[in-house]
Amino acid sequence: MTWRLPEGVSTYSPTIDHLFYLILAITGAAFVLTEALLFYFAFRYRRKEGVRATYTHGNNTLEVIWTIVPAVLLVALAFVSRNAWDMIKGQIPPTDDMVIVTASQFNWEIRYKGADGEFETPDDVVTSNDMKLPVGKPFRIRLRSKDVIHSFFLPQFRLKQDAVPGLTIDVWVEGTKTGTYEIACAELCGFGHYSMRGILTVMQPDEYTTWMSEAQAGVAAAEAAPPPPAQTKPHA
Amino acid sequence: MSEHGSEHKIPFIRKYIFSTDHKVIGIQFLFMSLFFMIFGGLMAMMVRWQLGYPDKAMPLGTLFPEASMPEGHMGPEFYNMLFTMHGSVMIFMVIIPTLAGAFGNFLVPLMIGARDMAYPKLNMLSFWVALAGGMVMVTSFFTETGAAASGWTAYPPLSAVADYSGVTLGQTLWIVSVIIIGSSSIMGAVNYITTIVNMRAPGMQFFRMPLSIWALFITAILSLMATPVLASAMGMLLFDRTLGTHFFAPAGGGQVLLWQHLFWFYSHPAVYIMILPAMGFVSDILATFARKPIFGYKAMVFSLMGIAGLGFIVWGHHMFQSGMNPTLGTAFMISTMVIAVPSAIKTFNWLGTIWRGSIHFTTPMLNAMTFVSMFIIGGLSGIFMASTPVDIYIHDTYFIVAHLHYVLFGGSLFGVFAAITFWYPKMFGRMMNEGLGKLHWVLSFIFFNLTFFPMHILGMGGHMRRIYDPTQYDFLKPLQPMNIFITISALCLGASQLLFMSNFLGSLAFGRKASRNPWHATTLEWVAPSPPPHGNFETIPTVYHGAYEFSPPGMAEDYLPQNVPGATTPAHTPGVLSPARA
Amino acid sequence: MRGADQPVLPAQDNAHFATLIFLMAGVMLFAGLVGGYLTLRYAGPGWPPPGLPPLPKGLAGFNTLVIALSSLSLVRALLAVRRLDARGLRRGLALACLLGVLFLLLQAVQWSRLLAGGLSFAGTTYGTTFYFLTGVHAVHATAGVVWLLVLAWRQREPWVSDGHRKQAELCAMYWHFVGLVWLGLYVVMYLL
Ligand code: HEA
Ligand code: HEA
Ligand code: CUA
Ligand SMILES: [Cu+2]
Repeated sequence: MTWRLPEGVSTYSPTIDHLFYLILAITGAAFVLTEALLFYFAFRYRRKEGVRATYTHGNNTLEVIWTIVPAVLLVALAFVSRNAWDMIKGQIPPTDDMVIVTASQFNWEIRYKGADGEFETPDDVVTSNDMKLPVGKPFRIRLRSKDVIHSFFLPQFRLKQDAVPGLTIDVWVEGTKTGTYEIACAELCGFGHYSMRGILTVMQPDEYTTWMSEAQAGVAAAEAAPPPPAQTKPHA
Repeated sequence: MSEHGSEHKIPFIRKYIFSTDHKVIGIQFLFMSLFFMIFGGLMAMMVRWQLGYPDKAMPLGTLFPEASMPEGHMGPEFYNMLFTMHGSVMIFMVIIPTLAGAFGNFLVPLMIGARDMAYPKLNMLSFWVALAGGMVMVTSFFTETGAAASGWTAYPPLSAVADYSGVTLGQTLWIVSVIIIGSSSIMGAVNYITTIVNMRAPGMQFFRMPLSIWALFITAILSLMATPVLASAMGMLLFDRTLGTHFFAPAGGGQVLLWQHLFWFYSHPAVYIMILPAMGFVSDILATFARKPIFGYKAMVFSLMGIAGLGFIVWGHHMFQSGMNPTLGTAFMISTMVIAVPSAIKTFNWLGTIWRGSIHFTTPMLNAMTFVSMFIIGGLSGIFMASTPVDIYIHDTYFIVAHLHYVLFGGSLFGVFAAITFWYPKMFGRMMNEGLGKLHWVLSFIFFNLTFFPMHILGMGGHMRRIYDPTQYDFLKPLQPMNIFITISALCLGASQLLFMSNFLGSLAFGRKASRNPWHATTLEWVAPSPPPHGNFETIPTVYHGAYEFSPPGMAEDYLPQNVPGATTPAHTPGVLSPARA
Repeated sequence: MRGADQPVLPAQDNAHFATLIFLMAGVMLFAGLVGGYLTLRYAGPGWPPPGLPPLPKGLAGFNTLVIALSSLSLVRALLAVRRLDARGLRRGLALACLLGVLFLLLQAVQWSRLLAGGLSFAGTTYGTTFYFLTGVHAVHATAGVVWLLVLAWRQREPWVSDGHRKQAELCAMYWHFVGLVWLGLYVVMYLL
């Protein structure tokens, strides 16, 4: 329980956190200013015997000032935010690595390419609620949903994106610290919404490669074991 | 109810039940909303219990059917119904009917100096339609699969396909009830707009109208323009559920996000529908108890217009993370930032109003000042969410829940408390108890902040909203003590409302009799007797100046009612001037 | 409830003004529907989707003419009122009503042909939006036709009472609204 944001572990988490604190500073100043004035005026101008309120209908200079100052601050804030937004959600850094995450009630299906280097083939590495990423590499995450809207949320990575049925939405993330983190679902998706939890493990690249080749070999072995002739694909 | 005026005998049922008198209709709306506030509030208490103590059975839980509360411990389906109906009831059956329905009806004719609304029968209809809508909403709880459970925002496909939520008839009834309530809003809006434009007393120029009237006027325009769009969306959703169409189903060529666009096109303006009237009331109350003209009257009017106009082009800020094109997101971010400017203007003008005033700390004034201070917090938290990158993290977390309660409870509801305590003498001819009123205020103020401020911190910790059991997640476990703290505060906040209820009901019978103008206010409703008879005024007043002639120089009294010619008219010697005739 | 001591003289009387306001709500209703339509149309792959019949531009175009003539006939009816020509009013109302009925009939012809041509209500968004939008419009048109009929029926005296004149004016506002909405729908759904 702290008054600060939890530690961020993606390349863009500092950007978001800095913006958060910048806004906290601006709104904090506005907060202190306005609330202090409110309390001060309430105290200073409480009713006193024989003191009459000042008869005034306003002041145009003041109106202009308190229109322009917030307007400038807010529009500036919008422009600062825009750059960060474009960097995080507007584009995806060049990367060949991709994972396809398909949400359904109440499960995250995580799909990697198999040994064939292609998606949507029988040798894909598919896990449930268990995602692994190498540290220090941008990864493309392709979000889909089978039924209702879910929202793929990695709190420590400051990433959140709805998975929408009928749409394919790409986002990206680059972890900066190894460890085990949680995947949460942030959009109400039914009675199991609260329990739609997954695990994301960020590993050293070599660990990741080892895990991946083992997983791919595992899939290949499972496939080879009972050979259903009709289903063997040429490239398997 | 009234000794004066109504010579013609009206049978009880026509006078108090099927009445066409705007004041009775307003009071009916008020009672209805207070009833629904208890209902919505109790659901919030149950929500809080579950969040504080996810693995303990709820006290009295065994009174509920086994299906929703096995052994007194609520299930996740039931939890989803609770917050869905809590949000829907609070918004559609409490805040909108109180602000627009109760106060709109009660105040519009009185404050502009008219005898009634332009269409009294339409007005009566709008109340009964709203009540019917509310009843349909409540009924949905008693259907076999329970009430709607897809949030007050009812995003399809969850809301469109019964299999996904497990709720069949309940969700359909929810849609129907929202359509019914919406049509009531439109009837009301037509009435208010016509009445305000066409039926002002002589001399009541637009720029002499009190800000309450301006706010209600602009709110009526907003709901007139926005509600039909909601109706079109609800119609589509209804067809998707009942006739198998595919407006929102991708399998049949539909677009899931279309709903969100249509819904927020209504619901963003709707959040201003839920605050603008309160802003108007608070402006009037601040000026009255600071004994000072409102600061920057025209700026106040233009900023109301600005908020309303801009309110139609910011809806996308609810959809930043929805998969909407990121470039559109940027456009909506800029418009959202800009809409904070008129709110800033209003805030500073409120401060300007009490500056160098002579402030009387009555219950309405304390609640009105609380409105200002809580609205600032709620508004400022909106700036975080308006920034698209920051919203990535805090979207759909308790940060949003904190924001919406600060604006809706801290803002609108404290505004309602202020308005009820201020106009109660006019409504019922009796004063509310000040001591009890202040006690309710101070307890609400404290427990409100203890309940909702920590939610910002939950949100910063990434705590998602709408989750039944936060302890499922490791990263949320450290936050659980705070959840318990919030729950205890919320229960105290709820209990504090008993004081309000008892003051409200008790004063009906035991309150001190009110004079015509107990607060020494300037607007026209105080010219009529308390409570005003059928037809409101003995003679229609003539208006000589704006609504805020407090402490004008050269007068012994510190207020000059709108209907009194005043210091500029030499016929009246200031000292002799006695506006309160009761 | 406007007492004699209500001296503010509004620019427009309550009924005309309120009707105008009500029609604004109507415009927004159709704006919402058309917004939804455009989203679905431009997000979808083909419009009309392969294998489904296109909308009958010609028939609907003719219908646009019908409803325009109907509006015109109301304009003439109101001009007749100015000349205190009660029969002219009645004839205008009746003609407008008849043309309205013709409009609705032709709409029904359109629907049944398309249904026969394989365009179902629930199958595709193409079909749904078409029936839904024209259907909601037809509901409004039906209300208008009934209103016109009632007014024509009641206008039997050889003079025009104030009440009847006002009713006719309000009904005309509504009917022009129905016509204009149809024009909008025609342009958006058939011509675009
Ligand atoms: C009365 C209702 C009300 C009001 C008035 C507002 C006002 C504002 N709201 Fe809020 N909002 C809601 C009710 C309301 N909101 C609700 C119910 C939701 C949740 C819906 C749901 O999902 O369930 C929501 C959600 C919501 C979101 C979506 C968040 C998300 O889901 O991710 C956003 C994003 O931009 C937002 C922004 C704003 C802004 C910028 C304002 C601005 O208008 C605020 C302007 C006011 C101020 C800024 C304070 C005063 C100004 C000063 C003191 C001057 C100085 C200030 C500066 C220089 C910064 N709101
Ligand atoms: C005007 C609007 C309004 C008001 C006043 C409130 C009031 C309260 N709200 Fe509400 N809330 C919403 C609008 C409102 N809320 C909306 C729109 C949502 C979003 C829904 C969604 O996600 O779809 C929401 C969601 C919401 C959540 C999030 C649920 C979730 O995401 O899982 C929570 C959780 O704590 C909560 C709590 C409360 C509490 C404790 C109160 C309290 O302040 C209530 C206090 C009042 C009373 C209790 C009534 C008076 C009662 C009596 C006089 C009887 C005596 C009572 C006792 C003895 C206890 N609300
Ligand atoms: Cu999946 Cu919430
Ligand atoms: Cu909004």
